[in-house]
Amino acid sequence: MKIKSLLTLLLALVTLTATAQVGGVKGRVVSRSGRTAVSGVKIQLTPGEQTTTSDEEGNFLFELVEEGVYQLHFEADEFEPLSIQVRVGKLVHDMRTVVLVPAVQQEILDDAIFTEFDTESADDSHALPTSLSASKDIFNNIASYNFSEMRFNVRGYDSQYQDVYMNGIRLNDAMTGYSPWSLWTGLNDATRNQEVTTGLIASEQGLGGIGGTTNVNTLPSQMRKGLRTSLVSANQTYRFRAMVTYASGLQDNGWAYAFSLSTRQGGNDYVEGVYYNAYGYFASVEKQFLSGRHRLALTLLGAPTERGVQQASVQEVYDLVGNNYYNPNWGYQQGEKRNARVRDNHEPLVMLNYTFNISDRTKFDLATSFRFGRNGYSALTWQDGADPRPDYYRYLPSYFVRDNNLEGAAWQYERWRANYENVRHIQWDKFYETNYTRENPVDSEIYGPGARSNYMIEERHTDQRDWNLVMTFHHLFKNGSKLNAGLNLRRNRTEYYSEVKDLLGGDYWVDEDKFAERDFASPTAKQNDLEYYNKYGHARAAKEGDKYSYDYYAHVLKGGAWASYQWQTGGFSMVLGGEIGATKLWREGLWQKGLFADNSKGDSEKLDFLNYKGKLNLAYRFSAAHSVEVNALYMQQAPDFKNAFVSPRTRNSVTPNLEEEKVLGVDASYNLRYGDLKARISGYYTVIKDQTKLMSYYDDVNSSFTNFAMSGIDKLHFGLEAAVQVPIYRGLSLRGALSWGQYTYTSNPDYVQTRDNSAEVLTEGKVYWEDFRVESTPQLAASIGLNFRSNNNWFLSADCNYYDHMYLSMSPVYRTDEVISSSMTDADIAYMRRQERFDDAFVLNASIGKNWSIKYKYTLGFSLNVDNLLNNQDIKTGGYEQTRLVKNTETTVDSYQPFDSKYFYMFGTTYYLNVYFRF
Amino acid sequence: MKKIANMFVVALLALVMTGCYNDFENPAEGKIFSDEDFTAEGMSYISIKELKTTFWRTTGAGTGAVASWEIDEPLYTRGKVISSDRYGSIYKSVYLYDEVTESAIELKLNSGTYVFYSAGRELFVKLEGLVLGNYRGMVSIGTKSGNPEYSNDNLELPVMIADHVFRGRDLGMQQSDTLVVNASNYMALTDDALGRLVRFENIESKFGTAPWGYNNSFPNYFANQTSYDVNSTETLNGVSFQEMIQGKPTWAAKGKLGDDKKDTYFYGSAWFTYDATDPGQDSNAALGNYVVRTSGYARFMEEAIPADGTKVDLTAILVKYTNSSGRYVTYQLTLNDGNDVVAK
Repeated sequence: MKIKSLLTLLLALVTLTATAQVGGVKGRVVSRSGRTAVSGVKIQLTPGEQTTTSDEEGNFLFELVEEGVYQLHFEADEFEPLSIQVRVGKLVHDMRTVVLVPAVQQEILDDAIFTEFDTESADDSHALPTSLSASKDIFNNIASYNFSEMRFNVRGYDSQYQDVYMNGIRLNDAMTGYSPWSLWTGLNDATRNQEVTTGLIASEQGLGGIGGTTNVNTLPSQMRKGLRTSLVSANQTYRFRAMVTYASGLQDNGWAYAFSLSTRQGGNDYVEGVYYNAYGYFASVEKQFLSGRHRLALTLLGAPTERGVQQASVQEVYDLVGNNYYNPNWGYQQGEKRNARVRDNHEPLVMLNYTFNISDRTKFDLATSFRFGRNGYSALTWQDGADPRPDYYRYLPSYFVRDNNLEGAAWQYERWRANYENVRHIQWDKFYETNYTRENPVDSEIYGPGARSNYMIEERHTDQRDWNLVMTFHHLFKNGSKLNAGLNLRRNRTEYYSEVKDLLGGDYWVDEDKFAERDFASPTAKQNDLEYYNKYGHARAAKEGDKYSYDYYAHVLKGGAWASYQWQTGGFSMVLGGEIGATKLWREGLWQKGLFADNSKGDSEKLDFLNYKGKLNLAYRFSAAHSVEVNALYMQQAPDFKNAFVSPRTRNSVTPNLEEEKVLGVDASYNLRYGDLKARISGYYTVIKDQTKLMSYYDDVNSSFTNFAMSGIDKLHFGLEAAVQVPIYRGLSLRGALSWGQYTYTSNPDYVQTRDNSAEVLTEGKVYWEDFRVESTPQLAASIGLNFRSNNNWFLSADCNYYDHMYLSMSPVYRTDEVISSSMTDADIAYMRRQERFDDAFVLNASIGKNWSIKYKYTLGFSLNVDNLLNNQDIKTGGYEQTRLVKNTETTVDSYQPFDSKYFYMFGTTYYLNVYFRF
Repeated sequence: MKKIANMFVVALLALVMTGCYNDFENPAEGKIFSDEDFTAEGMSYISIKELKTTFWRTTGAGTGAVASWEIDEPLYTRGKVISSDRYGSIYKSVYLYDEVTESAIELKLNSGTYVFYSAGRELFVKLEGLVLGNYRGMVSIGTKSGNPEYSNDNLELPVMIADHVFRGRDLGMQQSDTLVVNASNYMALTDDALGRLVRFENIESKFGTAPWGYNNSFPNYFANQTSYDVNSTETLNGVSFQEMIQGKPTWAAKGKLGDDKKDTYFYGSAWFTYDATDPGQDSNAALGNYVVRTSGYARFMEEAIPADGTKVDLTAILVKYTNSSGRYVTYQLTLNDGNDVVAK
């Protein structure tokens, strides 16, 4: 009895104690992207293994939790899992907001896929597709994965309309506006954490433009804790990739750190002479002070990459060699394949981020970054003699046919077919043989002993020093509305120069302008560095590593302020934002060019431009399942440096009629989400006005190297996007996406053509391409596929993609009056100006994968993607018209026809096998 | 499991340490060819002189007519390079000289030949498959032309050049490579010397109307089938030709014709003589009178022709002009370099 009484007493005491010590935890789960509530999050409290799910407003509550320290584990579809330690006391602990980071479910595409597409012009604005980031948006998810094979640009926009941030700093290239993916290429795991907005929707880092925003978050406290390693075997862009990444997570002492290393090596199965010799490194360390009130993070990353490049060729050559992947850039040197066009860059990025959580509702971010290093692109250069590129038009059978030399054409056809004496390739050994014997008395008297190279590899540099300072301020008002505001400042100084990389057996290169030498007898006219000539009496005899040809700085100074106000009531929400700023551009010549002695060295005129932007996002959520949104934007922005100067290599002259570009965009969407059924349909309408474009080329009509400056380029983009994912049965789902658009030029731009050697205006007029299509992206893309995910972590997918309305990039030259002669009929003119439309294409892709959990701690898995299962090797993915013209020899009046166009083709069947291990 | 992780890391590090794509071995110097290389292939040597003689015999052509001889025998020839296209006056050609037979011939190639075949270098030419042709009295080695108006074409394709032209030793230029002509021996200069490097000593630069041939006035300039006298008052694009060249008789000229945006490059012709009064025979120029013809693309084209009456030593390649009927024969001279004219 006594014992029973004692036990009862003890039990009562324990119960009393327990009751006294029972508390709870509550909070609200939001997405870091937009701070919107996340419903349906599975939340587990351990120990105790209590679980609950967040409600429509994102709220959750654990009651009757004993005092102690617990782990809260959050899991939700489309979000990175999160574990938080929480101390429960006697009351219900209010965690306020728990922020989940959106996950990118699919493998982030390696942007190396896109960088393969180089054209002859380094400033080709279509080198990078815009849809690189997968996101939780269903359309973007499908488009980024499936359509990238076709160089798909979302809504037809160039990559400069997609704002790409890292840790809150917009890093689009200051010279070109292009997205900066190449800075961290190969560091997929370290940059996996991305927040994406689509279309016109504003982000927390800035208002964004018309092509959506991506913010890559590399702060180590927000990276998935643990080690990730992966090995890739592939035949698409490289043979092999290895990557190892570790993130510590936030440690008790407030420190977090992460690092990543990667390498990619080898070529692919289709294009000869290309290769990757690429590495990536990433390190970041973060310290949180005062319970996370202050956070300071330092990040360093870089991707030293050496990459042999493919260039496009004409169909005649593809037919001669029997495939569509011929690469004219390489040849054998002592039996080894050597590529003349190699991109070699290493541009480290260092970044410092400071966050001050002033209160639960107010946050201040200060970030600064510095990009430096080198960015080179090599090219074969020769001083005299015939063009050494193997697919030069005079070396093709068609040239002989045009010359009525059918026998010569037949011989050359046979040589190409048989690859007689490696006629298809660069003759490296011949270059050496020539350079070895180029010691001669004429040159020795001027430059001293040694062999003067006639051939060499130059490396054209674009070395940036890019500094950014960004301040952002976020405040959440008690009524749930939110203010985001920021200031940003950018200073960029990019040095453009060429360097002697390899003298190919010679001892020096004479730094003279060979085109000026042809046109002007004066010894000073041909001097690239007149001051050197005046000092020494002869041009520089450049050695390997020396600068040569040109050297100048491009300067950009840009500042701006922006603010957005986000407000919601009931199902209605709104974001209203504005931005204003200014850009100053100027060129600073470091050398005095002989041709332009008074207009080449020193600062150019400083060009000032006003930037502004207004944006409105409206959304209404009828229910958890249905919502609509309407967005609008108007902006004016400065032209990019690449289009601001007529011939920046030679002089300070500003592009005629240069002005700010204007963009008006509206879009509207309907979103459906019903369980696993998801859909979106959007319409968009975008007007772009007053673009400027600059190109330089050899003009066959005027027999001169010329600069061609276009202004007043207007475009209209409108269309529909739709995507749906429908669950069918037990992990099997159907998904589909459609992008239908019409992207057209809506003006006949003005142009001014000047002679590069004298700045003389040769011609002025209109480029007649109104109503022609914007190039380089399929204007119709559709995908349908099946996706299966089993309970035991198998997944399979198969997708069929269809593309149409894809157009060749037009040369404006063919659409001017200058190439029209009196002998041409209307049909001839129409033929000259026509735009080529590519054939439509079907592509079938499939993937399979599986992962295993080992001891509940380790994950081992693989994924295998096989693309273009039908092995169709005749699908054109892009290309461009050349600027040169062939003079018709049989007519009495001068008349011309275009050179053949150059094309890129999709590879046949390719695979990508990724084996990964994580813990 | 740690072993697996370690393997990944080690594999990665191993790769970081490797991967060299820029290490290429320099090729050895090019082969220096000799007669044995060709005789070993069963080829027979034919001298330049014999080649030219055979050409005229085979084609039976008059000196001005279009004529071709496609060589279908395993022959090769050899000669020393005596020209240079470095300064743009000679274009896409080398002149080969055989000191034994004292004969020279033009070999039609591509641009920048001086880079590959500098003066003094011995060259071997495999002739089988090539075409000897005649242009206005000058014989050259080339390839078959698709144009019936041309007797042959240049070997422009690098692969063709590699198949037919081979470098021998660098013999260097010798005094004996240059034929010396002066006021006492010019009458002995004949077609046998065509293609040779000739130094005309103490020859006079002459401005004015020549008494022979077309009775041209010198210096004169030629483009688009039109000839302009240096003193021409004919206006082009609002300025007279004389103004265009700023009144300075230069070796050649460049300027804009009419409303053209692009420059026209004019050939220049300058008269040098040992006897300016000799009217010659029929339509042919008198011996001792020579026309230096210079391309508008020549680097020295803006340099002045020595003033009327100036005596100079002039070294140039001797070539010949006739019309298609073989009349109006004139010896022409092509300068390698403007510095090859030295005033006395």
